[in-house]
Amino acid sequence: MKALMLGLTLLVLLMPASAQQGGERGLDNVLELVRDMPVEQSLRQATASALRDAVPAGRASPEVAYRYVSLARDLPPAEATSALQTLRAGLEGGLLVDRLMNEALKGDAMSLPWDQIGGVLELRLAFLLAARSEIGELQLGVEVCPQTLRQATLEVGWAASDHVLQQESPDDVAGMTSRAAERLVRLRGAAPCPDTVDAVLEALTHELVGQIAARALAQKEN
Amino acid sequence: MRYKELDQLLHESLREERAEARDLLEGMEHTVTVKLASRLSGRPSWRKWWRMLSHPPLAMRGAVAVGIVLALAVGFLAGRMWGPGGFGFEETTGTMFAVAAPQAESVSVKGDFSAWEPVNLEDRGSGVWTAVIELPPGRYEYAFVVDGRWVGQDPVADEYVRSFGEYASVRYVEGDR
Amino acid sequence: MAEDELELVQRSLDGDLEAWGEIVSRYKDAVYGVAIAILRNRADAEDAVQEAFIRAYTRLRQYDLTRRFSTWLLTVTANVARNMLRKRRPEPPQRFHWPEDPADVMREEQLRELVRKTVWSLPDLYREPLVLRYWHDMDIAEISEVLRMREGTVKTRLHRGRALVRAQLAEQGVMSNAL
Repeated sequence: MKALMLGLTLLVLLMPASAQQGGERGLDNVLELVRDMPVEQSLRQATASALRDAVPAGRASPEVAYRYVSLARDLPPAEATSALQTLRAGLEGGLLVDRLMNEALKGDAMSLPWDQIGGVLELRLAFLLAARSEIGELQLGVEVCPQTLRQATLEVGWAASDHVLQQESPDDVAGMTSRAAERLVRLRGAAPCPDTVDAVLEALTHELVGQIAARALAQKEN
Repeated sequence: MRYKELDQLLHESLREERAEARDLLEGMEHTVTVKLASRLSGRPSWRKWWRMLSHPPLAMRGAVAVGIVLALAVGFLAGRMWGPGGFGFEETTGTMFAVAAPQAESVSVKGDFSAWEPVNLEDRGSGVWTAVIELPPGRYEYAFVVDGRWVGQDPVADEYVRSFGEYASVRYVEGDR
Repeated sequence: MAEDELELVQRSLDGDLEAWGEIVSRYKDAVYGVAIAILRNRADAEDAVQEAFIRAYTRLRQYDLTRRFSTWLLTVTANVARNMLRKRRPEPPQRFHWPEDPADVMREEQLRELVRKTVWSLPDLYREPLVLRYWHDMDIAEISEVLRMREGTVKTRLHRGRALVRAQLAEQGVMSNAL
């Protein structure tokens, strides 16, 4: 195991600079945009700092972040603040934020006003954070791959919020759970560590999903 | 140079271009209507077509036969292309997005893979618009835009979702193992 | 849509070519503007104008009456122009040769000529929205639809296009670069 870790470390260090640079260059463009935003300096700094952590860690793509911040920049100051706060909260919560940002870009592509988009985003964020909390507390019993675990957590939170957004009752926990399970099965086919997905699937009880929903909706009330 | 000065300069420069174009474009109405008139008079009325089909002159029979074969070929190809694991018109490992929109002027696809910026589809000539996009394994939401209209439900999608009251389609791209 | 314009379209749909001729007359200038923004070549643009009006007529049945007519017509034009562009053999990038002594005081018309040439030598990305804007004072929304780009992108490209023109002129000592 130690030899493996050493080997991997060496591999990363020897990785061609360009592969790492690509992300770096994209990140600089995003940070530039954030610096120009007409919002409070503290928010700008916090967001920039969170991006600097998240992008190299693979939790946010610079291309998507660039479009999202561009969109936010075109908004009036109050909405721009709200848009940036959502991004910051997602980043600081350790979430994979691309899907959240893409959701906003989808709404924009449909020419929807920000208050409609912002509302959906807040709900999504609440569910994603709740899923991360609840699933994070579980003893999964295997050596999990962190990135795959983040993806699995995202799918559960996303599926649960889909359920609510498609006007299904939040009390229909069974429906919410089966939707989440379907998404995890799909994820198995694409994720680098299917064992991690299996572990989450096994832990996916009605009770767990019910707790996630309750936490998310309580958070939204605040 | 102040912003307003440059703005004015740009206006004036292009105004000159416009003025020069006026000569070029004189008589355009006439040219267009004459060309249209000759095209339209060459086109038989539906009665004439019916007569021709029931008793086609020898030269027409061949053309009709070829036409039928072509239509079948397009249908066959389109079916193959859209079916599960269907092949595209070119060797590729990407994911094909296709829409049948024979009279459309512009078709694009917007999705997670493009941060919802439009990716233009090309009309292959039979009214089927396509694009092939390299997608790493994962889940992708997308929708088509046909002449400015949102078309959220792709018949070959794996799923439909509705966050904002309008549909979007979802495709899952598997990894290879 | 203007009432009499609607009438012209209806009459055209009924086969009245004179009505279509009237539409050609009203829009040929705008259509040419879009064509030349993309093609950059007068002869090609003239051909594109003809082709665009013929194509638009034959597709009039597909035109959605709730959409603005001019935008639809200009979108057809942009497509025709882009198709022509694809078929044209690729040209070497145009280099505009600056006059030998730009430091001399320049006459108004020489300056305008210079600006025109600069605009035409801009890369496609920036030239197209710039020409559409200054040819007809087209608004951002319409440019965005005709050229198929996001409004934010249109704004950014206009801004950069202007900056490029200004920079070119400043480089030649024709204008100061100060804002």
